[in-house]
Amino acid sequence: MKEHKVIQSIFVISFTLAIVGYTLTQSLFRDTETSDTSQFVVGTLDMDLTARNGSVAESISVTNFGSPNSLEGGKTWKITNVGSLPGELSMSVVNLVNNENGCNEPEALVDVTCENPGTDQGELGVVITAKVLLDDGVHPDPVIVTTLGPGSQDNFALQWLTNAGTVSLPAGDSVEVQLTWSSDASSFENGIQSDSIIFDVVFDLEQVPV
Amino acid sequence: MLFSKIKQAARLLLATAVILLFSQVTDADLLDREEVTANIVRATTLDFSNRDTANETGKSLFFSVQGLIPTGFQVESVRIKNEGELAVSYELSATQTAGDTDFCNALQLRVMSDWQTEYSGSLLGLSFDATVLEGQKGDLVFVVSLDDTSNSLTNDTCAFNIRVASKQVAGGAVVRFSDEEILQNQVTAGTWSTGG
Repeated sequence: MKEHKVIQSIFVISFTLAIVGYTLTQSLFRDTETSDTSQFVVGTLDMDLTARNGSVAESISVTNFGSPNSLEGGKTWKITNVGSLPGELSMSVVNLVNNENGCNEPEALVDVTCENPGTDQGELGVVITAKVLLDDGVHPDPVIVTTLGPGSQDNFALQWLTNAGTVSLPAGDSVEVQLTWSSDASSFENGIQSDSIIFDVVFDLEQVPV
Repeated sequence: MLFSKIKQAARLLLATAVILLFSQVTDADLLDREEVTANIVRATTLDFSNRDTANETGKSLFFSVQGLIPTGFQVESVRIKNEGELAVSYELSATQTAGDTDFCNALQLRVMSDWQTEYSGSLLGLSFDATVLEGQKGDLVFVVSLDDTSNSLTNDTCAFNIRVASKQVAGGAVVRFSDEEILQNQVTAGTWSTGG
């Protein structure tokens, strides 16, 4: 019984000392400053696609392939990182279609697929070699060399990854990407008459992983 | 039992979190995409046809002459119609396909364009070039005749083709597309006798 009282006394004394101690050691002076201009701003990732001279980027449009002086050409696009974050550029081709567009008499003599439009029956793409050149000062040779035949669109993304790798584009910087096409005159005859290829070129600028 | 299930779920959650962390699948990287759409490369066309000058129906059978005698002649015509997108530069030539060679060599041919004589000479020596622009047509008139009066030619026959073929080089440039049309002919000599 006596021991209980001693313990009780110790608790009471401790509690009392704690209250007193807290009160006595509390700082009486206080100052508060508020930094009300602090802000979190999310960076921007934005690219601008134009022609080499800054005008609106144009699509490739060749409708007389096979006529004199029509067997080669090219288009150059300028990609500028107009955002505030650095990015990594990549290029691919999607929606590549080789159309047959029917056959006229000379083509019908050598071609057994003459549907209209005849998706992926066309023979034009396989006689055209496309090259992609990058003027970043690092890749002097074409980073992509492929035909434009059916199923060849995957070559663009794969060869970009293999040959160009990571193409860094810091904020404010530009890079020119040139897509050329050419064909050896001896590589085709009537089988490609009226055939066409249609495709989309895609540029992706992805944020550099932090 | 419940505690065991909770522990299992926790382990699964932990493992998933670790996988996602290292695969960066949940990375919220920013991405911008620009596309140059509807790029097109289309091949042009080269095509022409031989047509009847009266009604523009297709024409492949040309001269069919029976009993041709010296000083005799026959006239035929054909319309070369450009059905493609390229101008067609073509050339004419004639080759014997059957019959008597002497008689074929004896036959004479005249080709007129716009009523102007463009070729006049032996049948098998035919050589004539012309161009038909896109969307245009050209009319040719042919006259086959026999001047040779040799008795050895009587009752002879000459079968020949007049070949209308696009040229492989036009304006100094190689043309990879081609077309050709054939006009089939047969001429049979009559009988005659020369004095002597």
